[in-house]
Amino acid sequence: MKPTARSIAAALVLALCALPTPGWGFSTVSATNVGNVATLTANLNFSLVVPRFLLLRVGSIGVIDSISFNPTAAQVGTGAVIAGTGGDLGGGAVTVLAQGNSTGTGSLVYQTTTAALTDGTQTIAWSTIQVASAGSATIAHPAALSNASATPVTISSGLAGVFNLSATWTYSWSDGGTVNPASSYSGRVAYSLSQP
Amino acid sequence: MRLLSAGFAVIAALASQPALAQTLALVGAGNQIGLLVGSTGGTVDTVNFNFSSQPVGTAVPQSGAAIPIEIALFSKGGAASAARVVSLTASPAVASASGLTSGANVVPWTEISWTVASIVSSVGTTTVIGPAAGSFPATGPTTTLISLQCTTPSTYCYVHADYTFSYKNTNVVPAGTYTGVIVYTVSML
Repeated sequence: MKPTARSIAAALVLALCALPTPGWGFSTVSATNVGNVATLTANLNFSLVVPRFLLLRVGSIGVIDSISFNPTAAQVGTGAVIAGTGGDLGGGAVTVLAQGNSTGTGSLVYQTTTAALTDGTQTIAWSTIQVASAGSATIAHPAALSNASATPVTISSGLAGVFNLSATWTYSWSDGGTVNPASSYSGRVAYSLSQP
Repeated sequence: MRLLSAGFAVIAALASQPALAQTLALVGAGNQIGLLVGSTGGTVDTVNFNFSSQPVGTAVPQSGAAIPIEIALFSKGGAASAARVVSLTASPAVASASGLTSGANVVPWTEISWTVASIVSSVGTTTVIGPAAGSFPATGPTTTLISLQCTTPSTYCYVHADYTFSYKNTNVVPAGTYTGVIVYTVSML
């Protein structure tokens, strides 16, 4: 059958209506042709920008915790293990969280800010403080603090790519049988997480 | 040319109707279905999730902008046309079938959820399935998001809702810009 101007015009309109249009569209289907399925599609884009970040938590958030060891007179010089007090978990325990999402390999280190625990004159070695770790083995703390404070001590050097590690570190103290002069000794340990 | 002119006349008449009027055209005697996702006029909108100072992976959701989504049916007449059901589903585009991607890294679609607000349906609409909060499945299409029927023949009916999408932020993921495309499909069965 030879197409007429009217049928060509109708076909043109139908063709235009069938073109998918990004974001919106329309279609038609015959009301009498119930078996047909008419469809329209529209796209929606999603974009998520994840920044590089690095997070280290040791103890309370926004507060520097203090761990205290208070041996009794009867315990002095016996080498008894003295549990700590304080820390965000209590009993000398702290929450540890290390997270990063860059492409490089990160490391977790600590450094004592003084050469030893001190009362200003007398000292007690840092190595008298023991640390028990639970949770992620990747960030398990060395069993005792190091006396060397000149350079950072590595806890973990294999924090590659994306990591999300948690642990609990519990501190205790023992004089190892040494009788120390009566006094109040203090010091600070600084923990650092880095990732290129 | 008389039919072509008539077609434009109907489009002009529909322009006074709310919502999808500008996206519908009447041709011949058939029903028409309409779909609006985001802006009108052919723009493909982008839902952006941008972290500010919020740490990654804390499970604190990051919200994007609200996107209007609307489906419509112009029931041209007859009992059969009024019985037709128009349904909306959504599926990931082929290039982002497994999730939003940034190079080789993937954030699964299950990390994207939504809430709905400003739900409106026209007079003469039976909402079989109404807009509701949900999340994308890991792969493949969603269940039906919205479906409607016109309650009477020769009715223009629609359902509209504003969808506000959120990134769940469940996991620590590699830094990068992740993109993906969801294809919304409205069908008349």
